[in-house]
Order: sequence, then C-alpha cells, then structure tokens
Amino acid sequence: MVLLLTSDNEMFSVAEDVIKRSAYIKNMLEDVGESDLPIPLPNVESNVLVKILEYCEHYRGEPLPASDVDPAEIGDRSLDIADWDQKYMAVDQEMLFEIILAANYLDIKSLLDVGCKTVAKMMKGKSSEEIRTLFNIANDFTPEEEAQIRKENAWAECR
Amino acid sequence: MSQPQHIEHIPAEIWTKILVEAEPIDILSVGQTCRYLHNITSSKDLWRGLVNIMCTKHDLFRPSYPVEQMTLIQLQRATVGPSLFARRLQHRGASFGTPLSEASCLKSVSRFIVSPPRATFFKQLVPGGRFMVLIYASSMPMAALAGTSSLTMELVDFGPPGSPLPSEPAQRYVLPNLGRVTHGMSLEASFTTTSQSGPETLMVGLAMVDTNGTCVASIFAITPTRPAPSFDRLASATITNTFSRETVQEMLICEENALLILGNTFIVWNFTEQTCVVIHHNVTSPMIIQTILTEDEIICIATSGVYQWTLSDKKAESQSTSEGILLDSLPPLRFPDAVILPPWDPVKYYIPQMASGNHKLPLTFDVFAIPRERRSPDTIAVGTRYTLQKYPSQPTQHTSGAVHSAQLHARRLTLALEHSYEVPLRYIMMPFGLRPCLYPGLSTLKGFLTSSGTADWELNGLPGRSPNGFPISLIYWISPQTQRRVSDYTGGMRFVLLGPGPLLSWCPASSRCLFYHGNMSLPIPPETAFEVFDYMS
Repeated sequence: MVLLLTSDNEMFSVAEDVIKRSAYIKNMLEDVGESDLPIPLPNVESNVLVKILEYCEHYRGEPLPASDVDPAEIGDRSLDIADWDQKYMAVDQEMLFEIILAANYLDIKSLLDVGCKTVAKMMKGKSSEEIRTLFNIANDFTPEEEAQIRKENAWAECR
Repeated sequence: MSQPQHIEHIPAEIWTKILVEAEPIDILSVGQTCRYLHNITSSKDLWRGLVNIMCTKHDLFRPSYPVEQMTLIQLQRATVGPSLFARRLQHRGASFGTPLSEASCLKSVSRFIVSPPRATFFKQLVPGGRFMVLIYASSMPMAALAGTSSLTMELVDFGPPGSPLPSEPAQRYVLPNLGRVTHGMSLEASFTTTSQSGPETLMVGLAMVDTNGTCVASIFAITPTRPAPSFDRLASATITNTFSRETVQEMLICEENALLILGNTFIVWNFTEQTCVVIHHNVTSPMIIQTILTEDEIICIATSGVYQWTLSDKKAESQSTSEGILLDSLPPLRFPDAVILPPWDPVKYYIPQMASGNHKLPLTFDVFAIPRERRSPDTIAVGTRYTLQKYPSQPTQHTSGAVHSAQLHARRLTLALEHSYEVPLRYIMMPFGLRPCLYPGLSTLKGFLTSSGTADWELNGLPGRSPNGFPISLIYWISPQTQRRVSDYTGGMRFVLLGPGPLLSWCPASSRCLFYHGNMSLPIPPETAFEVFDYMS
C-alpha cells in the first residue's frame, strides 16, 4: 500500500498497482523504494484525489501506456471518447479543470488526454461569445482591440 | 464581476494541449474571448504543430508547408483550410432537386495557368496543393507519336497553400531526357510520398511500354525541401512480357513497393530490394473498378465483390529483378486470400471509376442502381455509399497470441453501408464518353466529387462560358436526412458547382483544384494547358 497526503491534509492508502498509473508516483516509488512515509501531494485536494483514484481503480490491470508517443497515433486523432470516460468526465467545470491539473501534475497521460478532449469537445463549433459564456470568461479586450482581432480573423468567416 | 478561477488557473502549457485536440477553426474563436487566451492562441509554435497534425490527418506532402518561413496568419489559414473549405461547401450546398442554373458555383479566388510544352501524359497535384507533377513530351503530339520526342518530368511549385496563387510563374524544376517516346507507346505514372529516411520525399513511378510489350519501370525521388531540389532515379526494372503483350494498365506505389498491372497479372516490385512477386488472378467479371496497394496487400474493388491478396506471406516466392523480369508463360493462378461478396447486384449496379492513383483505406465509394428502361436525364437512380475498411481498425490488445490475431485482422476487411440516396441520372451519366471520376472527399464531410458532362444542362449561372453545353465539375456529398436512426441510412444529396471543364486533380485540404484550360465547348478539350483554381480567400 502507498500512503498519499493531500493538500487539505487527508491521508489516503492506495494499492500500488492502482496508483502506478501515475507516472509521477511510479517513478517516485522506483527511486525511493518501499517507505512508510506518506507522499505529499500539495497540488491535489482530497475531493479531486478521490476522483483521480476512481479513474485509476477503473483501469486497474490495464497495461500502462508506453512512455514514448507513437507517431502513428497522431494520425488517429479524433474527439471520440470511450463511454466510461465520458460518464466519468460528466462533472462540473471546476472539477473537470481540477482533474486536468491533477492528471498533469501526477503525470497520468491517458487521463490528461481525456480531459483535454472533453474540453475541446465542449468548445466545438462555438463562437467566441458562446465560449465566453461556457467558461464564464470576462472579455478584457478594449473595443478597439476586439475590432482589430475580429478584422484579422475576417477571412475565416463563412461566405 | 469576479474573474473565474479556472481559465487563468490553467497554465498555457495545458491550454495548448487542449487546443491541439480542438478543431483548428474553433481555436480562432477561443483566441477572440480574452487576452490570456489570445496570447496562447497566437503562438507560432502551436500553429506549426497544428500544420503538422493536419498534414498527417489529410495525408499531405509536408514540404508543401515551409512552416519555419510562414507567418502566423499563413499558418492559421493553412491549418483552417480543410474545415473552412468544408464549411463553405456546406454553406453553398444545394439539394439535388435544384436546377443547375440556380445552384451556387464556388468562386475561385485565384487561378494559375500552366502550359507545358505539347503532349502531356501525366498531370497531378501533389496532396497539399503546392506542387504539381507533369510528365510530357517536348514536341507536338504527332511528332511525339512519330518517335522524335524525349520525355520530361517537371515539378511546378505554386507556393504554399494559405496564401493566394502567385501571379508570376511559379518555380519549376525540370528533369529532361527520361527516355524517348515512340509510336504506340503507352505510359503510366503514379506517385506517393514518404518520409522513411530523412526529409519527406516525393516518389514518382513511371512505366513505359513499347509495342512489343517490353516495359521499363523507373522510380524517381524528388526532395523539394533542399535548396536545389533534386531528382534521383532510385531504381529501374525491365519487364519483358512475351506471353500476352499486355500494356501496363496501371502503376501504383506504396512505401517501397510498386504495383504494375498487366491484364490479369500483378507484378509487385520492391524497388529497394530489387525483387518482385508475380500474382496471376482470375478476377475479371464484370470489371475491376479500383485496385489499391497497401503496405502488405493488394485490394481490388470490382462490381463482383472486393478481393484481397496479402503480400507478406508471398515473400518466399519473390524473384530478383536485377536481370529484368521475364513473363514468358502464364504464372499459376492465384486465388485471393479474402473475398467480400457484394451487397449490391453485380449486374444491375454500376460503380463509377475513381480518381487515378493509389487510394488508402478507409475508402468510401458509391454504387448506383441504374434503371434499364425509359431513362432520361431526370430519371432518379439510387446511390448507395459504402466504406471499405480494415476490421477491427485497432487489433485488440488483450488476446493471447497478439501477433497472430493482429495478422489475422490485417487480412479482414469490412464493407460498411453509409447511406443510400437518390440522384438524377444526369449527375452520374456522362456524355462525350468522359470518364466520371469520384474523389475521396473531405473527412469532415465525407464528400465526394464527380466530374460530369452537361450537354443539355442550362448553365446560365456561369459567367463567360458558352451556354451550349460543356463539361462541368460538381462536388457532392450526402447528408443524413432528418434525425438519423440506427436503422435509417437514408441521406440527401447536396452539391455545389466547382468550375467549368472536367476536374483533373484536386486537393481539398488546400482548396486547390486542377482543371483543363481552354475552350470547353469543344467536344474534346485541348490538352495543352491546365488551370489551377484556389478557392481559399
């Protein structure tokens, strides 16, 4: 078992083969070896870690992805997301971005990919105004700047 | 109003990962939301990466895009090109009942006229739309046929897509003296792109067959990224074909293999190892529509079904080609390794010819049921659209004996029904005996393009052309009708007019197409000049 200490000081005890999906923890365990000391995760809160562990638990036993990215994989890009992953990602936006940040910090490549794809899919076909509403983004351009950017992108308008 | 935590809380590095997964056209919208995201989406490195992804996705020749020299806006335009072209088509598309005179013609933004000297044997845009390969004889067609002409290969550079075609003549790289053209000689050429060793290279295959049935096949490599582009003759092989004296009907290249089709014989020539495998088959009835060469198989789409021969297990019987290939007797008959019986009726249905050259899987094609009696241009034919692909596309990882199952799966092909739709005969039947050609379309649209004759069409909508009738090219695609249910494959045909004259070659990812240039009201258009249209603003 591996002990993890979250930023809000909660202790988690996790099976090694579950948490090894995190390349960060996997490397740390290989470097440090067996230890009774908890691994501090100052960037991850307990409610996010619960969610992350749910993912690792689901994929327990599946082979870990190779560390090298297969160049052929790039050609196979699509926004297709597996059914389970879609349900898993059906969370509020704040949690979605927290999962992405934690996946990045813990180096769980497949989860980071699914998270990025989920956000990309949310933006698909949306106008800039719709994206602002979607992510509650405040428009901090001056009217002049906004007009200028609109002009620069005018070629992409549909005629 | 409080600035939400999560947008700026997410570092640029992660936003970049998200944007790489997004549609390029959506990235432009993201850049218009706020300063933070505008800065991230204005990174040249991001767009250079996106150009590379686009090249992989659409199988484009990477040197078409000199990303290091391109400005941000050029990079953006190049990346967004395929989806913008698709959007523009969707926007202007007319449903099939619309008279052609009322249908939209996609306006080209710039044109470029290429006039190679005299008789042209081969003219194709290289995927990416920047380069065009021409093979021509340097004297008049008659003189060429009389045996007084030598053959030239030329690479024309129109400049990178994403900016309009230049008004001045583009750069041209010429390789003269490829051989002498003699009377009655036939010529087949094909190209492919490869980046197996070093910079991405264009491989052009050329097969010349004289009247005695002797074929000389050569492979040339062109690397246009070097300061002075070079043509290298990589390999040559001679095929002496005494038993049937068939001409070479087609030459296809994939990786290091060239496929030469002589009647019912396939010669798969590995030009790196200088070996070949000869396969004689009996697939004739009624006809082969398209042959595809992949890394390890030959696939034939015929009206009587889909046939597949694997190559990897026939390596043992390969012979050296260094002394030439002598076909002085009929090779033993070779049955295909896999056959898909057609879901269509081979007698009543018709499959139009596809664009020349090699195709890749998945390949979408249309099959038409043509009424036998009382036909008029307005008669409605039923079109059915199929996609041929490997099954399953990804071999399952968890089976024991993974290698065996992967090999087994590589042999398996599936034919999936996409849509059925109704189409007036005038869109698919050709006057003047012009060969209809279907082009694999935009992946986003699953679009198809057909070059079509129009002897009795009203063409008032097109400026500056004879209204008496000339061939015209239109692009069409099938959109699902209303809410598509799982069991409902009905689709509606939509189209736009692309331009006058038969379309020769196109690259939708760059919005560039190649047409004949000249008087299209002549029954046989002149073959001496070509016109490249760029539809991108």
